[in-house]
Amino acid sequence: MLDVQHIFKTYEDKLLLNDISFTVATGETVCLLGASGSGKSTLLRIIAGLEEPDSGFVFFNGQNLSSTPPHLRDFGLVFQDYALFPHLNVYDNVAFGLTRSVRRLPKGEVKERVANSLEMVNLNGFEKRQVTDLSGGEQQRVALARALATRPRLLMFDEPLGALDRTLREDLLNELRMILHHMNISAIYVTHDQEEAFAISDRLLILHGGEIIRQGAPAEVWAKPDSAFVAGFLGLGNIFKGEVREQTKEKRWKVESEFGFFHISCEHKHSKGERIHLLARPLSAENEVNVIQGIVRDTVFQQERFKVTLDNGLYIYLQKAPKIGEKIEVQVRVECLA
Amino acid sequence: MNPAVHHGDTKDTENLRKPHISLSPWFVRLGLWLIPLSFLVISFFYPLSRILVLTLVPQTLTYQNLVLASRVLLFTFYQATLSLLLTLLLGLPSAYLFARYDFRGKPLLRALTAVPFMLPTVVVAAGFSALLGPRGLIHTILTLSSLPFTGTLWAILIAHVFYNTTIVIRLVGNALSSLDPKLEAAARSLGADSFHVWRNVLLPILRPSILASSLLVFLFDFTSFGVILLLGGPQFATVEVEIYLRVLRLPNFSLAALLAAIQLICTLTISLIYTRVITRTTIQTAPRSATANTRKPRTTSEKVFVVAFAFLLTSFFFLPLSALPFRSLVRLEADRGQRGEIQYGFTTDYYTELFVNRRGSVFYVPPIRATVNSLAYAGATAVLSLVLGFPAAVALAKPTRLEKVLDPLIILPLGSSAVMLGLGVILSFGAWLTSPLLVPFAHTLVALPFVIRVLQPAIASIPERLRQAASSLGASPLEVWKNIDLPILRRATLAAATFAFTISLGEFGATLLIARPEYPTIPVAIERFLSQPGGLNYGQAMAMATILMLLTVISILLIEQFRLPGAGEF
Repeated sequence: MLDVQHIFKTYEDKLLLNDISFTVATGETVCLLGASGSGKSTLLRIIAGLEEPDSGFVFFNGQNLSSTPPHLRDFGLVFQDYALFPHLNVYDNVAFGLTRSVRRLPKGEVKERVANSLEMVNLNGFEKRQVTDLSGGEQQRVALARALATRPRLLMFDEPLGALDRTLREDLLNELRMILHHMNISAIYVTHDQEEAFAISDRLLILHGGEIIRQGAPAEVWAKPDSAFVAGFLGLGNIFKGEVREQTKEKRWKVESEFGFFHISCEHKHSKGERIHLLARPLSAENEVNVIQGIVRDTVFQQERFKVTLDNGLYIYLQKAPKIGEKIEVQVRVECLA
Repeated sequence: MNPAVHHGDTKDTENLRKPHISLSPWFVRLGLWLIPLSFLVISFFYPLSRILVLTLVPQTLTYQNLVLASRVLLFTFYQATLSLLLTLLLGLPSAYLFARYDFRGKPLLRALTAVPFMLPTVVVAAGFSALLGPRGLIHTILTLSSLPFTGTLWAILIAHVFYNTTIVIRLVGNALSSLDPKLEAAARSLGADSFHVWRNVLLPILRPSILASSLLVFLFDFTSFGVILLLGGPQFATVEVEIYLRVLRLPNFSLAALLAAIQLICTLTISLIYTRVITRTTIQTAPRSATANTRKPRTTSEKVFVVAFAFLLTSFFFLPLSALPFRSLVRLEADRGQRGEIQYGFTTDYYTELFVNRRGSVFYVPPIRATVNSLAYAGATAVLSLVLGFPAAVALAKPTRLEKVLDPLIILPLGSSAVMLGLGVILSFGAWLTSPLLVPFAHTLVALPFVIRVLQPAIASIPERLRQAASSLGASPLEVWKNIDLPILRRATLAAATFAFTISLGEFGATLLIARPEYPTIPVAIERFLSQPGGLNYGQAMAMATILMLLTVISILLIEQFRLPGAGEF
């Protein structure tokens, strides 16, 4: 089990990581999600031992790794730009980690492991190919096979699919998820793409301003983003400000905003006149009391639905496209983000 | 999970091992710089300071010295300007030829025009001597003794054109080939004739590249030494030749130092202007692929131009280069007083004679020893410049503020001429002149900037990610260096070493000043043979120059081989 404790890191006088602590259980895939510059890659490099934190510790199975150099940590790393060794062919790339002095394996076993790893990423028969002749997707598969071959106790991915196009990314993501579950390996997956994060992770950590501002299972985070930033970053819907008018019932509040009055149920204690963030989910929901309305300005076909943008800037997903210029009224769910 | 893996030693927390991180701390950088910088200080900056100190004493700055210096300087400018104009006269149409037209044998001809630039000056001088000199092919066969060549200004100018035309072809040709020919077509459709197309369209657009190549050509002509000494003779003393004369023939060290200081100021000024021009040249009009802009000549006038110029270039560049090996294997002796009756025939005497140690010859050893010396010096230079160049290139590959300051210092020896470097070494280490070690030392000084320039981009092109990936796979820092850096840099290292080797083989100016008489190098031996009377000496000079030409060509081919990426591009 990986246990990261109180990591602080400043970079060019800016506090990049501010007291980061989290754990990764055996077999668990944790996703570090954050915008570029949020320090997620730095955190990964600190765990890998490629960079030193200003303070804080990295433990694995109770062992302090602070003084362990990267090549003795037994953590696999997969980079966005693959980092394949251009002077070695596919076989020698995958075998690289198996022939190092830390774990020099007998020749037969190296061969077997390389074959296994290549099979896992569907690259059987690629052994003699030059890595520079491979496509981007194939190169990333080799990089993955290379990291899997050493059977590291933790696998780390630094935006591994960032350089690939959309369909390739989806395919590889599915394969990767199956491989990780099949091998029951602990993994940290760094990305700025929430779709990727939702698809691969058992648990999400959202990094912002040097801190983990939200963590939990993907469904949990999706249902309760808890902050305007997280809701916005994950693209959960329309986010706007409102002013609390009155408490109507136990945990029920009436809020006024530029888009009209909304009734929200909320665990928080609010006071009259307080400014709060609201999230209006873009899916129409039949039995909701809240309604958003406006004149249709634009509709975009998005496969199974239409994204409809209104003149006031709000958007909504509908099954059928309304006419542009038409005035519509839709029932939606509105939540408090505090 | 792999239980076989040994994990970090937790007991030994005091012994903190530095993780492999991208920005090495300042003391590592300083360590990298220590050796190359100490070398530069000892072999360049200290000698330079000796020259400058000697320049600034009142005994040096006499009226007589200043008059002589300005006369020499004036002639240097004069011959460099003439050479430049002639080079442009041949170079600009040639650039147009290569940038606009396709014709058979074009790549070969292009390569041929580039060969002289890489050849040692003594080889070029020997080549022209073999073709046009008093004992050369044209003279003896056509008995045109009324046509003087060696010893005239023309010999110098033509050799300079021969040397530097490739610069104009490269720089202007590259600019021209990335220029859309539709521009010319558009100008013509608007009513411009050929003259106006050149004057109002091509020349203004090409001006930066013409300027840049002109400055470079001028710089090389300005500091030219071997060609002027061997083809022109002492009566055509440029600054560089005069320094040499004032060191070895009519010793006057203060005048030599004064001339060296003046020359350094001139070359640095030209280099500075060149750097400024070059940075501005990079802003170009929308570039296109070079192949799309060339085509076969269509009209009659185009065909005449292409055929005539291709023929001119072929003869101009091929004849001197082929005359040399030919002359080294052919006896051409006109008996005294019997002009017209020439004994000639195939002979290997000039080569076999190289192995004989004759009493009263210009050497104390069999002349072939010069080849052995040259190869040994070149080997030592290659090793020494790699040892010094590698750490500097590693530091320069990831420049910090420190490197921004040090980078120009490393390149500075390039701006100073070979004879000047030799003078500095003599002034500083005169007492050591008995040591043959001084030659590779000086050659390294000349080769080091080139070695660094070859290694630095290769090192910089290795992404840090590769090293990180390797270490995450269990490679220790040493294994990373051995398994990642070294194999990837193998080709670049070989190219750099061969570069240094080639430079050392052909180095003439500095070597002439500091080589001991009993340890001549090939270029020094050629100079001695050429300065002696007699057909046998002349023939041996040709043989030696042919050997040097062969060695250089082999080295150039090797460099090209190493530079070519094999399996993948990296």
